Amino acid sequence: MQQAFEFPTAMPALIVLIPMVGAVLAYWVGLRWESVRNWLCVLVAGASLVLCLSMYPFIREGGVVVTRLPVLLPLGLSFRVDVLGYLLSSLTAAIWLLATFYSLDYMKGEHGVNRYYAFLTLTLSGALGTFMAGDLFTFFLFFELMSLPAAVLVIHEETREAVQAALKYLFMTIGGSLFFFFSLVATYQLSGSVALGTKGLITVATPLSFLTFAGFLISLGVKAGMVPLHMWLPDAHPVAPSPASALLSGIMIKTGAYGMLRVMYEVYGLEFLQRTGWNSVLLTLSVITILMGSAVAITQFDLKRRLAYSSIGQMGCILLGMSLMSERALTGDVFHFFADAVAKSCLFLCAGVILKRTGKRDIRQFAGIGHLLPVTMACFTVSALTLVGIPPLNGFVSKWQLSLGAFDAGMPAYALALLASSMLNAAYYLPIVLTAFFDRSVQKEAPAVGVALNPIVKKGAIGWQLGSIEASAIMLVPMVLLALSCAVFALSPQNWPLRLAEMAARLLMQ
Amino acid sequence: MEISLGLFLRLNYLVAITLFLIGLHTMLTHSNLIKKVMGMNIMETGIFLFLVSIGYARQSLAPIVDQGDGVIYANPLVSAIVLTGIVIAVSTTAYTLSMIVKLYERCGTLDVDRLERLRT
Amino acid sequence: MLKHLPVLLTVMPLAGAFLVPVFGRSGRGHRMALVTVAVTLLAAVTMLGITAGGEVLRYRVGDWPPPWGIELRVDALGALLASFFALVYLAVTIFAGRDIPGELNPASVHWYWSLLLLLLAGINGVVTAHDLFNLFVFTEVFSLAACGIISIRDRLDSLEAAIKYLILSAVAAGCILLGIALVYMVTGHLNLSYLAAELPMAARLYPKNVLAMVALLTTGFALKSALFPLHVWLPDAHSSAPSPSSALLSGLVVKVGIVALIRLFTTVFTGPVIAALPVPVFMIVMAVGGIIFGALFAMTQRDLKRMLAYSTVTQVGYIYLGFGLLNETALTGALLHIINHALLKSMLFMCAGLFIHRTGKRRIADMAGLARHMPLTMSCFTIGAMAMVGIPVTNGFVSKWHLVLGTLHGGQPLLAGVILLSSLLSSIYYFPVVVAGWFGHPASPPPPGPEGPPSMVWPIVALASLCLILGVWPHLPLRLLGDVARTLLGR
Repeated sequence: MQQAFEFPTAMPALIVLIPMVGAVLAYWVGLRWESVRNWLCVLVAGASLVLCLSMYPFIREGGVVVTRLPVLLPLGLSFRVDVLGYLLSSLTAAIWLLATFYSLDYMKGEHGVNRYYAFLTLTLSGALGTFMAGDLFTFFLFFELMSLPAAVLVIHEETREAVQAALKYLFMTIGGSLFFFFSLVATYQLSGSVALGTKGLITVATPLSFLTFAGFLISLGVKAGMVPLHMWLPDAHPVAPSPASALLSGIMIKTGAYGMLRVMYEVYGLEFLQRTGWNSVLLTLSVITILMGSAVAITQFDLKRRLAYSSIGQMGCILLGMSLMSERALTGDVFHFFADAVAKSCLFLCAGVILKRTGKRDIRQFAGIGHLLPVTMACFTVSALTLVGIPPLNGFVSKWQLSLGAFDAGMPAYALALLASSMLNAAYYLPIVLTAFFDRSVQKEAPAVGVALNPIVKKGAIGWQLGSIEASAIMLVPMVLLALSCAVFALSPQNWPLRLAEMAARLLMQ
Repeated sequence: MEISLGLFLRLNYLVAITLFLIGLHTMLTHSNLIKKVMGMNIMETGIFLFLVSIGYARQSLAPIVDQGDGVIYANPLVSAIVLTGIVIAVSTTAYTLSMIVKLYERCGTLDVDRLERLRT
Repeated sequence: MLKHLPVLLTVMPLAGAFLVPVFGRSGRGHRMALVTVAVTLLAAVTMLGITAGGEVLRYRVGDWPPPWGIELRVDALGALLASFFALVYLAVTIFAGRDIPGELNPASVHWYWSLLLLLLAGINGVVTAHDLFNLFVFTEVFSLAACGIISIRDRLDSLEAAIKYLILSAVAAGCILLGIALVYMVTGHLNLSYLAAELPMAARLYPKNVLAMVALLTTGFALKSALFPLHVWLPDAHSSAPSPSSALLSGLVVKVGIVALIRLFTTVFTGPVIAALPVPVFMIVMAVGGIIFGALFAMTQRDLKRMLAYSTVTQVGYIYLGFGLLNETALTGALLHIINHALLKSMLFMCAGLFIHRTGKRRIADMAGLARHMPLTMSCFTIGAMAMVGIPVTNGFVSKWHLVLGTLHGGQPLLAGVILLSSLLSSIYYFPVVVAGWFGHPASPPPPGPEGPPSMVWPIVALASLCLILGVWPHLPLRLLGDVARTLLGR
């Protein structure tokens, strides 16, 4: 295998360290100066983004940025950023920046804001570290560093449901991480190393190596919301504050899929899995995930719950893409990481605006909401269409590639699963959009509902003019940017993320 | 000497082990605290007997003055060990008894099962 | 002076224990105890510096040569354990300075310091002894002192727990002494090195004696260290004692029995002796029982200190598991866990102690919303809980890593499953406490005021930071313990 150029710099460690220090600093500063803290958090996320992007020159040459810190922890820490890690960590920092910016307005007047910002920033550190980890041990460490503070975000409202959802989340996360821990130790036992980036750490199929594979599958499946292990997700995502749910659904669950990608292609290796056929386990589970996630989403009427189930369905597509084991499927897969992250976080941010401005969570009460919140609902529509996979948008590109990949792999039946996913997505997203914009039947009584629900609407009859309660600029900018990127990248001739995804796929398939 | 054989060849060992078992049984099964302390002492006596028997050889003398060649002495080290053991046993007994007295002053019973019921 | 360090480790606290009742009335006792513990810590650390390179300090008491005289030995393991034990001791003693006068009858406070020092003397005596009988004597010293610091609270439940402990401890003492008698009978030696040389021969000649001896000694020390079916005394004793005592009992006293067993099994009952006996298997089975049942019992507890006490049963199981596997990685993990759990559990008991000191309540349900009033304590408790579950960057993770790796080295993935299952169970009983503490709403807020006296808060914070530091930089103890495990296993 052609060894990639390695650039030893401290950059990845720095990128992880900045939010970590920033979180502590934010908490401390926030005790005195609230607005300083808010902007500090935005600044920290922004700095992470800039630093992530600044690794581009190395990545473009097909290089790998490496940091090794052998003195820490039993096995030492190491970071290793290749194309895939670069794409996902930049994406993470970008979406984090937007969500933090959105929080500036969204979290105004909420309780426990100090805690919220500190843990939001700490979670960023964990997520970035996960994507840039150079060995499984570092991956595990940052995986935990991301998962545990996220429980604080889930529990934020401190209601009974929030506490229950958070405990469920916590137990499943810890259970999952114990499986990961087992597999980590077993990998070390089997191969004497846990470093990523070498193809095929484990090369012999023994009962222990299958147990290891199962352990990885379970632990990462919990985080990724793979179906029999998804139970925490529909509870945890809706109760969190909307920007946090955007990050949970947009980024955090992707870490599970990302880990799976690394495990399948770097710990076990393509040949090994093709020989043993172990990937068929994931293949089956991913189809079930797609169908079940999407089908249950239709039955949900709480907007955020529907979005959460939709996340499960999308994760199914991602898991399917990686278990098909063909290059084009992988390209589509990596691109779908990007497409779904952008669209799903945009949807959650929109849901946040709807909740904040009208107090409504139930989709059946959304009639005419498109007139009240035109920009928000426009963003919602674009993102929803992306996930359905309508041609000029990101989601179409990824689904196209995934389906081609299914044919490449000689398993065209799985393209049907993708098709079914698109149809089901349409079935649960389009009614929301249609009700919001075109349902006039209940418009007359709608103000009454609004009066009962939210003081902003109550202020007067002006409530029914176009965009009268539209979100503030601070909340709109992130949503619009995300919605735009759903379309812009797919339309522009220079589809930059797709190029990176192609590079990443080639790297993994080597 | 193999212990299973020794038990029948030397009465000391048999008595010592019997005492040990009687003591252990009393300590673990009787609910009366004073009986438990008695069992403790019986058990320890058994061990001391065993220790002293190890050091003693038939017709051996106390190892005090050198009495010339061909004389067998008893092993003095075991006696020292037994002395230390007795000191420990006495202090443990005294300490346990003092606590039992305190307990009796508090609840007027020496029965462990009764105590258990008193507490719950 | 330097030559006498091994014996000073025991003699200094012993002398302190006798001086405190004489000169230490009217509040001076605490300062005397503090100074003694600090000096002991200094001595232990000095020896750690000397022995870290692999040197072994040998000391002949009264200058009598070994087969007849008493020999003390301090190797890297002994020095490391003594240092960490003394460190925990120092923290607990500082903490106790404010806690104990409130818990005890004023007339008996200075006796508490005396007992505390006696306990330290006993612990250090066991750690340094290179002689079976001395091991026994110091085991008795620390057992009696441990009973003392439980029963000194002068309440019904403490008295009862102390009597229970004392009687079972007497059974253990009987077993150990009988074992010693048997060993002396077949070898004629008590010094561990001489025993080690004689025992293989004796094992061939008198296999039944050796079997009985190993069984008796194992049972005795397992009882002292609360290995699973013999743990019945522990929950009562540890939960009814004053909090600083609980911290020491769970953190250190339980470990001393294990240290003694590890010494015996790695220096005396080696190779051919142990090969014929199923003791390691027995230990593993009991350890698994302790791990699972300790966790299950802990889940059902409503009293905070009882929950922590049952958690100790589980953690002792971990140590025995690593020890019973008898391979290098697992033994390193077990030794590391002795240190880590000493730090952690004493820290957790001090958190509980501060909570009880501050609010006067001790039920888990009363901890809801605690973080509002005691954020530092709650943070430390959270760190402790995370380390118990084995989350990375805490020291608990490092030892768990070695234990799990050790089970796989030993070809027993099932045991790895047991460890992980019990981690999950630990999270089930620790995390609701943590979540309720941070996010719950207190039923009745405690009286307003600061978190607690600084001399109670800072020892907790210091130990918690040490847990994190050892989680991030475990290399110093790991390197030492790796060497120790290699030498102990004779490789």
